[in-house]
Amino acid sequence: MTFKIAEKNFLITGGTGQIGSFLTEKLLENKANVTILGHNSNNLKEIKDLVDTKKIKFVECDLTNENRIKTVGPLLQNVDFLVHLSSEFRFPEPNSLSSARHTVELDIKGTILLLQQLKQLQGILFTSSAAVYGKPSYIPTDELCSIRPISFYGCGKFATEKYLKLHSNNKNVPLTILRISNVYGQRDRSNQMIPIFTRKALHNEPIKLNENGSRDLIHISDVIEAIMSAIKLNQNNLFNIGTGMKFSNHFILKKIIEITKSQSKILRLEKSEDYNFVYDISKATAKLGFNSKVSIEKGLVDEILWHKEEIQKLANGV
Amino acid sequence: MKLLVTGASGNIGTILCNKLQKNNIPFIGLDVANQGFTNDDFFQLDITNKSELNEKKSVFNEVDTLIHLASKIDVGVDVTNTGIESVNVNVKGTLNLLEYLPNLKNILFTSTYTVYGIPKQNPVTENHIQEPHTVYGISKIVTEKYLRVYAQEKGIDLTVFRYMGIYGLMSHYAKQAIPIFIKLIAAEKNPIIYGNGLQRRNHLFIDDAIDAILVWINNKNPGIFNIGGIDSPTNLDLISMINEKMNKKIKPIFKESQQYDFIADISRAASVLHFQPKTRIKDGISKTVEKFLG
Repeated sequence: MTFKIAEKNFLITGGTGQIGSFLTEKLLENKANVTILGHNSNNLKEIKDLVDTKKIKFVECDLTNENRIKTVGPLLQNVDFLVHLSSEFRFPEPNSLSSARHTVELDIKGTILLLQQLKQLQGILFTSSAAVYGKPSYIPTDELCSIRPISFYGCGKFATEKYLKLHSNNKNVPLTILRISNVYGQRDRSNQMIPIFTRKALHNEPIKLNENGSRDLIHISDVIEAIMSAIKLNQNNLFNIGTGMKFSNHFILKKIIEITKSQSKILRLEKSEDYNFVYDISKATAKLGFNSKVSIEKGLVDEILWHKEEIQKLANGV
Repeated sequence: MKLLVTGASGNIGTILCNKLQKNNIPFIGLDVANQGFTNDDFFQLDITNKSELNEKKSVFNEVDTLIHLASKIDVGVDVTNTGIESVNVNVKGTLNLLEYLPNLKNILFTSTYTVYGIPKQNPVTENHIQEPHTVYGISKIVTEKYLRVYAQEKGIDLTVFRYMGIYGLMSHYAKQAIPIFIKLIAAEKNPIIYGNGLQRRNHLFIDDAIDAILVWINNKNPGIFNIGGIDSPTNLDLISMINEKMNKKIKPIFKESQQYDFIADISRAASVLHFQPKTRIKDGISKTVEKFLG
């Protein structure tokens, strides 16, 4: 039995971000009613038109603001399905106590306060992260690998998983946890490797490369597909979501330089940390029928084109 | 060593602090409640309140060793009901404390066997999967993870004790089997057993729980350790031991319930921390009954 998406009321936290905006569009295609919870109504980016034309609802609410959550609670009474994407990755000092405190406020308390308002849930999907594994004790990493976060970001994600899990057991609401690897593709405004490489390559600026690293990069449209399959399944499940393929930083940079025809100089970092990561996605393949479809070449071409357009828009003052 | 004990007025804290005084180990204590503590170095303050911590800043500045017992216990299974309070005290309270202890070198954090949830296999070792099914258990495993990142970042040695259920205290542990059995049998009322009475636990006697801390104060060996008792009695064993000690023959009433064995593997504590419990269950029960009868 699959969960019927049409006519259902979805709440997406962090809905203005990369995953949130694409997922919103996808859910609308499937005739769902979508409400987005975001902390800044002046920065709706890709979903602005949808809000302006009243195709979706936007509720302005910072999940660290307890009073505000209680105030907007009545607007969320009819939510059937929660897609919980909200999180903060861009800490100035990731492992400082103030970052730790922020993850407790936003990830842990924000989640609990939100759950207090959502009394009729039929399903929850939470996007967690490979950061819960820290430096994984083995690769390819499957869901049984031990949980040893080495960042407060990873701690926040781990904690959210646990509180959601207990709530799900207690209230009999199916919970899907997707531990997603590194997402790339259009609308990636993060300060992660690919956007940094791309912007620098497009401006022919020198690029610093950590040669010893490799990661499991997954394209945004594959992530959306995994999320949609998981919503339709709507069972208690935990999946690692990636491509199951390992791309070295060096390979990625070479591709970006090739595609952009950049003149950037490559500066090899002397003291680089050895981080090699790749997922074992066989569980998601077996239970969700998930497999990544977008090749890294095609994915990079798309993302680079998007960055070019963004730079152009900025230059035109749009 | 400048030692701080949090939760100094609590169940374990009170006994630990008395023992430290007896052994002439200097320390400062902290607790939100003051249950008749007379040490000049005892501070009554709330770790969820940063301004209260700030007032004692200069004292805390010198602390290099922390025994962190302070915690909100027994908060049920409904996240939406007790989750926030539990996070505020256990997780945020710990982060607050760390902020005002800038010179720490060693931390002992007391966690719980409930971080594991229902055992996949027995005995349960420290790398058993962690799937707590209580708000308390989650707050403890989450705090462990935050402490671990912080300790790595700052080069602090972190020790975590995952205590089994502790008995030998007659106070607040209203939901624990042993004190409930003793109270009921003493009153000649039938104790209720959930399940068939055959589930086993290696309950930990309070003296051994305290001993483990004293061993740690001496060697400060870092790591995560299960701290449990020697014997793993069934609930029926416990009832017959209590009956015997009290010269009574009260029979239990059985109520259907989910039940499972929980036997913590304590070999790591023995080999790495050099701690082994000494109290056999019969002696522990006997002492507990004597304490109860005054």
